[in-house]
Amino acid sequence: MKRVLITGASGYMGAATALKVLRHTKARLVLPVRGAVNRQQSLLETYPDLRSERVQWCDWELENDLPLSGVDDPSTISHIIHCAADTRFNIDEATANLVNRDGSLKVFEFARRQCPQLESFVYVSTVYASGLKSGSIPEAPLPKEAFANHYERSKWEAETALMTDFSELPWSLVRTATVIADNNSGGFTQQNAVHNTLKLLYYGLMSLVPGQESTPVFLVTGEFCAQTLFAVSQIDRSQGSTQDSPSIFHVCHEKKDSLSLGQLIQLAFESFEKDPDFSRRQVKRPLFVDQEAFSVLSEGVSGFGGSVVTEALQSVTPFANQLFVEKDFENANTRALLGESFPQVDAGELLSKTLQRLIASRWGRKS
Amino acid sequence: MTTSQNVYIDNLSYSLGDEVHSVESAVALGRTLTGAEAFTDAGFRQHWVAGVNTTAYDLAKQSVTQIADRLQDTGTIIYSTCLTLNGNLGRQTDFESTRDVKHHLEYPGSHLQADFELKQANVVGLNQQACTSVLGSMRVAHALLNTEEELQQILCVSADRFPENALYEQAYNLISDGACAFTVSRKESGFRLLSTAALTNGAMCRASDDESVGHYFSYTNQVIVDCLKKAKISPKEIQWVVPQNTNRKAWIILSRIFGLPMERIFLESLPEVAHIISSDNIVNLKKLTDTGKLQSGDKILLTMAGYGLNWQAVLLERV
Repeated sequence: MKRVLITGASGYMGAATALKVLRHTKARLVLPVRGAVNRQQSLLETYPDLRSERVQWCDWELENDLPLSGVDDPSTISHIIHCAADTRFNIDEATANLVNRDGSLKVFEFARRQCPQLESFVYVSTVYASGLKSGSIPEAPLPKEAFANHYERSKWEAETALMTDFSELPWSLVRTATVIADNNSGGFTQQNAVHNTLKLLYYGLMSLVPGQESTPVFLVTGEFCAQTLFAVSQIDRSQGSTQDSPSIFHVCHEKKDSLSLGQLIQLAFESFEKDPDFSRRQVKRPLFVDQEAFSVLSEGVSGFGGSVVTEALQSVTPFANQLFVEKDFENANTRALLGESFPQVDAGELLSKTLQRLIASRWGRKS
Repeated sequence: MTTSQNVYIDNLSYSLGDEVHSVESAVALGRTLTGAEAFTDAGFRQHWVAGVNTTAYDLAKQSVTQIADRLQDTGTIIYSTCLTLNGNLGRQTDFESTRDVKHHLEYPGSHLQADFELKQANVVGLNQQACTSVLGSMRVAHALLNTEEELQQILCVSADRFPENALYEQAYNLISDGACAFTVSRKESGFRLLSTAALTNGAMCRASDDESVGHYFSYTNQVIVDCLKKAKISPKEIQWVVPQNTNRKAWIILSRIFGLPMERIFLESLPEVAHIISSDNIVNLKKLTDTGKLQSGDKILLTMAGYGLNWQAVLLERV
């Protein structure tokens, strides 16, 4: 029986992928989670579908030299899906290095040294490992670029290490875009910088937006990510198998199927304006400003706003430079892999549905 | 509103509170919520506080005294305050002992008319426009001069002092007590008024400081666009912007939005006098005039934002 190790199962992407594997295979799952022994009950309350005798929880500490030393009999692991990461755009340099780069290197090393029967190693990265490069981004190794934040840089470094220093692993690389909703219904479990920005706009706390109206914004559902991660993990890359199949996949819609920043703001305000509370407050649409102007705002935030604005802006600011970069992401490998299952999504409709839920729940504050 | 009859702003004067305190002193005295570093970073260096026995009306008189020899044609006084409590000289204790509301009706505009013997002048009070009141008084004066033929000159006065023990900080800006005065007349001197614009978002009248800041840029942009549109000029045709004395970084941002170099944003009095509620524009305009940099035909944009929430802009042209 296959044995699949998934890191980051206490997080959004890891849990969604674990559920996918559990539902669609008979494999046994190994889920290393920080403090698993004490947290198992609460994790199962959060993810009740993971309550299965096929699931084995174990502790791991990324700070340890051997973080996966708690995994029983690693020689029988057939698949690893490495989802664990700190995905905050405003992550500090030290944490990005510790978790996203060095933590990944330890997982790569574990796979090389202790998992001789490994058929597949999937590393989950981000399309923004492409940094501030403009134009078409291929499903291929990426050259080093300037980066908007340490998150992007640390993910690029881990990617590069996997493809060079650990190239003998049966690796695949999945770069995901920004998750706006769990699925096409617009429901959301996790919130990120996009949700925070929309919240600031809704509450009238942000009348300036960095970026150009024409810049595409790449949003996907968590379902699209999990679907792709699962499909990629099923490619057998062990010796004698399909080694020639593509190794890098973009979970991202192309520019032509994505919203521009201007369209996103317009749709957001169309949704906001249907809400009586918002409408009464007469919040005007924000102004687009250049990088320097937004830097003045974000760097001088202590003189412009209190803790609410400061906290929210700090989550948006590290991503701001990306909103000036016109890029497109190739996704032919993912399209070929998923075939007819590749999601055909109306980006505007997905955003509107998500906004309806965000507004109704006041960004998750109302049940 | 494009000016149908030319009216002119002139005879600018201002006065400040009795005591000057450094930013550090203001913070140490507990007059602020924000720390000294943030104020300094925003451009503030010191602020002015009226003495215990100095009223807002005393500050108004000091401003008017400076131009008293040019008030003989005054037919109307527009007396504005940001804080409504500065629009009454009656004492609360007198009301409490007599229960007579006339102690809430002792208007400083009336006192001013009497004290300066402006016997032919009537009084208009204006006290619900917060920091934008001075520009509101220009707008009202312009309207009156266009509708009342016999009216030759209007005296505009704005005066505020914060009550004892008040925080001298609003929306992360350091406040000063002070007053200003100027005339609006048909006499061709000073500055010709080209256009005015005003916006109010009443739903945000209880806005938090964060919400006020959050609305600041989009509404300031809108009121400026409205003002320039009425005068049929583009931002590039403006020689000077004379804002209120709030965080100078706000204008670093706005200047980029409007494509105006920061050198044309005249905020010279910000470090020295801080945010005098509703008199900053006049202080800065007077200082700009005193530099000798202004040339005939220069277009000068005055902007203000205030609680209420209110935004106003006035476009002037140097005579």
